[in-house]
Amino acid sequence: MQHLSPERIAALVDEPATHDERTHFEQCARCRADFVAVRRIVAAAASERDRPTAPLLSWQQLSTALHVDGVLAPQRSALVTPPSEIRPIASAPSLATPSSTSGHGFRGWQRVTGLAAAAAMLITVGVAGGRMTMGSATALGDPSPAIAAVQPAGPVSLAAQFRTPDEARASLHSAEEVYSGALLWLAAHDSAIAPRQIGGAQAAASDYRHRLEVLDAAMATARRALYEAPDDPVMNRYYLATLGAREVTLRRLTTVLPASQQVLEY
Amino acid sequence: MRALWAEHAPRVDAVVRRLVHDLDEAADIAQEVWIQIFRALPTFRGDAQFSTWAHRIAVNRTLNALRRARRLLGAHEELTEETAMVEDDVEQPFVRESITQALDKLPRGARTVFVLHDVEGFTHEEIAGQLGITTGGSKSQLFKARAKLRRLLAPLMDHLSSPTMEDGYAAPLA
Repeated sequence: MQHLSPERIAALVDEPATHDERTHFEQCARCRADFVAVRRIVAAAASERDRPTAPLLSWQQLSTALHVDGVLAPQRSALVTPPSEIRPIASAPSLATPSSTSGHGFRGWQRVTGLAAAAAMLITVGVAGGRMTMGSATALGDPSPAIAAVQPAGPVSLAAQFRTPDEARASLHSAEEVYSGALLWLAAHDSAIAPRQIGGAQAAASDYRHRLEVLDAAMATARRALYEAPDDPVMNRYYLATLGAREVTLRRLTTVLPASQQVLEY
Repeated sequence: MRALWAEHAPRVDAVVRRLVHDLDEAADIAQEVWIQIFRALPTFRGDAQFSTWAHRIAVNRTLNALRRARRLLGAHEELTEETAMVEDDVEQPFVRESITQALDKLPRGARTVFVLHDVEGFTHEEIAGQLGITTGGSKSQLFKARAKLRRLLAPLMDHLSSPTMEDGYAAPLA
């Protein structure tokens, strides 16, 4: 007996059978069983449509992407968020995904630099660099406790301490926490990046603008480097640290402007 | 926005998950889908249910992403190429395989057409338009997918129950 092909049986779930095929079904239990099985599969598949599954993303991941993409406005509450809950990477636009339509790359970049933290060098660039541009006498000679905590002996000797990738990642995570906390603290307290005491708010605003210009120049350099090496974790963190310093400075600039003024450009 | 996401993510993400084999890639695409949904939200006029509108975006965006990744290029040829691999799997017991798990065994092209037609309810004409294939190609892939699922799930399906006369063939009259 010539059985129907599996594909033909599968087609008969929603196509009419010929007279010969109907005759065959009446005589062939095997083909009949195959047909019933396929029909059950199709019915089960249809019932799948309304079956929910666990979301593929958390709201935190999605809101981060929405912020980066510009769909959501920047989070103004970031400074009051506990440091442990802040993910610096979350507020940093990813240059690895310049296109706003490419959430794909953003998560890819998140994976590459998922443990992104500011290494000691980057904190020095972001914070001490800012101090230099502010003309502070404490530019490099008075590191904050947070900086000292992650910069005890220089990056090379620090690197020698790690024995496994997990150890290094754990340190990155720890540094990320320290960096987040340091940024928050600096935004609120650091007198070294405070405006000049002489000259009033106008001079202070000028200082902040100057610092922003310097940070923008650093970011432009990092951006060019990232286009060349979008997955390079060091360059990503460099950019991230600079961006964080820039955000702090912008906030500080806001504090010295008259209430009627907003920072739209500088 | 969060409330909207919380209410609809289980179903929208399910669409993406069914169409994309790799879970991590599915999460990437789900993110794209939700960005697109929220970006297009001002254009949602309410002439359809939000869930329907979001579902359509999820399907379109997922297919675009798959196409972009060239996962669907040469899908028809891919089906032929991968058949041998699946045939090997048929030799293994699949008593505990669910349809969702079995879908992962299908070639991508066949899986996509099966999900779009039998799960999501698209017509062959719509699928052909979405995938850039003919309606005949869509049907061919669907029937091969069903047949392959039947083979993959044979132990499970045969174990569930034997066909009865009530379950017997009852195709539409020609």
